[in-house]
Amino acid sequence: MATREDIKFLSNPKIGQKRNKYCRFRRFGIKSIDYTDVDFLMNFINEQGKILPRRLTGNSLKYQRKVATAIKRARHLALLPYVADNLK
Amino acid sequence: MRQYETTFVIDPTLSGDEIRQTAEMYIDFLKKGNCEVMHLEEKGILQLAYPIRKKTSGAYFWVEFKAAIGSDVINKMELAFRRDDTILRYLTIKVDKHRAQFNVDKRAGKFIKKEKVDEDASETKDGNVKNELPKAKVEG
Repeated sequence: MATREDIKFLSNPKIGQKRNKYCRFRRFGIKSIDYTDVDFLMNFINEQGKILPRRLTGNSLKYQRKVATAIKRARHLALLPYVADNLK
Repeated sequence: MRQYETTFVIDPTLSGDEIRQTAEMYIDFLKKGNCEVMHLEEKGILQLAYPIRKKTSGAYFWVEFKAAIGSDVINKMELAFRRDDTILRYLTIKVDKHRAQFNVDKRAGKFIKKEKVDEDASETKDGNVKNELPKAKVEG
C-alpha cells in the first residue's frame, strides 16, 4: 500500500500554482510608452503580431490602453507589421 | 503653445541630398508657421515591416516642435504630406508632460542601453535593478 507521503509527489505540485501577475508600468514607474521602441513593444504582441490581452500581460487597464495605442502607431509607421508569421 | 511631434517616412529611392532637402522643406514650413522647432532627428533608412508602395525601406525623420493652440499649421503640413508622393507615412501626435519628459531624457542619453528604455520615469537605482526581472520572466 502506498502511503500518503508517496502519493504526494505523483502529480506535479507546481501545476496548480498561480504566478502573481503585476502591471510592470505601475511597479517600475513607467509613465510613457515609446511607439518607436519596437523591442519593448515586442513584449506585448504574439508571434502573429496580435496585441496580447491583459490577462496574459498583467497590465493595468490604463497602461494596456497606452500599450495598444503605441502598438497601433508603430504599425501605422511600418515599424511593426499588421499581420505576420514567426515574428519572434 | 502646445507641444507636438511628427514622424515621417521619406521614399528611400531619392538620393541622400534629396531626402535631406525634403525634410528641411517641412522644417522650414513649420518655422514659417511660427512654430518653435525643438529637435530634428534623422533616424536613417530603416527596413519597413511591410511594403508600402512597393518599397521595402524608408528614411525616418522625427521632429519635435511647439505650435500655437488653434493654429492651422499642422493641418496644412499634413495636407502637404498627403500631396507629396515622396512621403510614405506620417504621424503627428500631441505630446503630454510624461512624453515630453521622456523625450528630454532620451536626448540626454539616459536610455542608451536597450533595457533602460523601458523605465523612463524612474530615476532611482532600485528601478534599474528590478527592471531586469520582468524581461527575464517574459523570455522564459
